Amino acid sequence: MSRNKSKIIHHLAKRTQVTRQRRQVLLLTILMLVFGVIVANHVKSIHAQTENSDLMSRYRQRQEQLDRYETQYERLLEEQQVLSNRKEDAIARLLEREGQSELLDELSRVRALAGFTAVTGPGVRVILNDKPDYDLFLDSPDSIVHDGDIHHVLDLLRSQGAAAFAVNGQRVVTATSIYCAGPTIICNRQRLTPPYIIEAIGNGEPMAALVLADPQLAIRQTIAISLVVEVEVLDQLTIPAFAEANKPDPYINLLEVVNR
Amino acid sequence: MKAKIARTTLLTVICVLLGILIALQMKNVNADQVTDANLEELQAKLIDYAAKNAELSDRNAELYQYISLLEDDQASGSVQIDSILREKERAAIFAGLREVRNAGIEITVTVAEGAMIRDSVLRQFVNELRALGAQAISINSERLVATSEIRASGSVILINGNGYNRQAGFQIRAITDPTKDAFNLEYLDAVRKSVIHDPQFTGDGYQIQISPMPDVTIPALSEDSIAFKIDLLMPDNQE
Repeated sequence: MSRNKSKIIHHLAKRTQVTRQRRQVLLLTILMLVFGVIVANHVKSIHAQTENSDLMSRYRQRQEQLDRYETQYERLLEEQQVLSNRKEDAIARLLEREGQSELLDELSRVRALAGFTAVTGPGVRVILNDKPDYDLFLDSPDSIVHDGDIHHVLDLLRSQGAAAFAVNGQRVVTATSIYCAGPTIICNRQRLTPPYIIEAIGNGEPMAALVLADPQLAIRQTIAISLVVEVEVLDQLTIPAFAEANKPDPYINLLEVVNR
Repeated sequence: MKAKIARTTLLTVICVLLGILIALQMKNVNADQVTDANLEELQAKLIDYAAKNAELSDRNAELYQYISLLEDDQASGSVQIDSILREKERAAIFAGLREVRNAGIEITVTVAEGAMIRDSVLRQFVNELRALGAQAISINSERLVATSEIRASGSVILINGNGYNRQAGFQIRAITDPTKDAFNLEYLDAVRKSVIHDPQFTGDGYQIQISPMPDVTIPALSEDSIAFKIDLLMPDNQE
């Protein structure tokens, strides 16, 4: 009886060992298969990478160059701001010295009317954005913000008496041209990308109410299109001066004055 | 026993190698995301920035010269004041405070008897003219500025606070670059067709004529016009 039992135990132990060995061999086989697939894929991607490495290195070079240009642009803007302030001070001093304070007032007023000075006041901020996770191949072109959407919001704000506007920090002036250029929008010769932040000084509540109740914008927000429209009433906001106020000539070079 | 150690070692080595290869693979996947399109997009940005920087640099240089003139104690007062007057005049032209003329485009909009012209049609043409780079625009005798509203109110369309009969015709005039006339006229004609064929305007009987004009005069807007809303604008003291 005890001999039989020992035989059975021995048999079972042997079976367990064989099963474990088989399992290990199976695991090893699977691992080797995965290893093989990954190695093959890696070799393939190394080949592709060699082809792509030139593209990558050019991309890195351009990116570094762009970073330098962006830094230079920021520096030039700061310099322009400093020079503009210095010019304002110099004009004020000179006109005071020459006893022409009336001319100084006129100049300030005309510059304000032209949009050449930054202004503050209560108002509204409207944010327009493309459909979240917009896919060029799957989604309709209607699901991105177009120049018409920006014009429409500006028209709504104008009809509620807005006194000054900006789109992504670009002051909207009489000669402002807003139009689509591929997936971006050009405003005052600057390329803007979404989200488009439209700010306006004026009576915030009615402006916001009009935008929120607008049927055209409601259609643009339906599930099929899914444009994002956000509206915020602000107690105070600043609309910057027109960025090219110091040299507005490209915007008026076709205009011959008839009568002063 | 030896066989077991060998198997375990082999398994460990394979797992480590697999890990390394998977990591490398992930890195390559990220690298592969750079495409020709990305590079072109970057290139376009570079060109944009290069142009902006060159322009800004020139503008700063001119500004510096202008400041030098203003700060020059030796310069004649009249020369300095003349330069300020020129600056003021440029700002006044830009703001729409001067009557101006040049070649341009005229758009005449009329509707069938009994129908009323919609404000949205006028706004559409004005926005398209702005997009085409018009430097001055008027509707009837109203000069349009950045804050000009064009809004229907009963039987009139309000422009700069003045009402114009919706049953009478509207003339939109703009000073545009004559070298771009061919493109501009073709573009505006497409807008005209879209208005005429718009189902919501069926029955209004829109008649829209678009003509290039050798000489267009655009009136000035008075400084006191409500369109400017200057009372709402407080200068930003932090500037």
